[in-house]
Amino acid sequence: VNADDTRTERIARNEVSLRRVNEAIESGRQTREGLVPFVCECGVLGCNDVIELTLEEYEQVRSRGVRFLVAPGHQSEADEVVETRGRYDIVEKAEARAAAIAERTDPRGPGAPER
Amino acid sequence: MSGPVGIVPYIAFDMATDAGNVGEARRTVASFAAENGASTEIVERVRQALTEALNNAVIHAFPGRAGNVHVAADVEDGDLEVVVSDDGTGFLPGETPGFGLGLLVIERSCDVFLVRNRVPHGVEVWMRFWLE
Repeated sequence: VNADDTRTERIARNEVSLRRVNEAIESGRQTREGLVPFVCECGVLGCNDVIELTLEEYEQVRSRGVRFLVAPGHQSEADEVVETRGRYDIVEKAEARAAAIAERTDPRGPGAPER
Repeated sequence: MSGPVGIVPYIAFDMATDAGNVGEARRTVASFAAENGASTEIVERVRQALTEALNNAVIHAFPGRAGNVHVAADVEDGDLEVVVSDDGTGFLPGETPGFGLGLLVIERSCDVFLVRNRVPHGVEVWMRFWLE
């Protein structure tokens, strides 16, 4: 394991935690309308960006377990930007270990508890 | 305010959004958790999560003005539930220093948590810790 591997995995685990934060925000919504503030899932500890999405837009991000929501330009070296939406980007884990962590911990995945 | 509601132990109090009040609020809830069966490890997690929830409220809920944060805790069905709520501005888009890291710590400290938007405005952080 070299330093790059450790950094990639650390960022991937932070992204997974931030995805759970956003799932907690979505679950706590009392209304389905309007823009909802979510946190940037880029996984860099210094990032404090709040991004607004509709819940429909958020659900599109969550359609695949390897996809994450980030502020524009916040992709990591393990990411590929798959959609740019102005207010936010959707990135996909292109690096194998980061993708495996994302898939394994996907709260919408096959092993996840019922929502 | 504290005491039993039926057989459910609970505490609830308001705290002015002053950073100097965070420690006392944290001690009050940590003591309640310990008195109601939380292990040392769980009490420490409660302290961490509560610190971040309170700091987020103190720093972000009422920009440029004073406000109150409501803190409540109870034990139900073997779980400790802690709720921190305010009627402030809610999350605002853009750079919010310390906010993301605070939620990250809460996520890692709790067994379950929700972030609720309050109507007409404000935020409620609901945290659950499994005691058994």
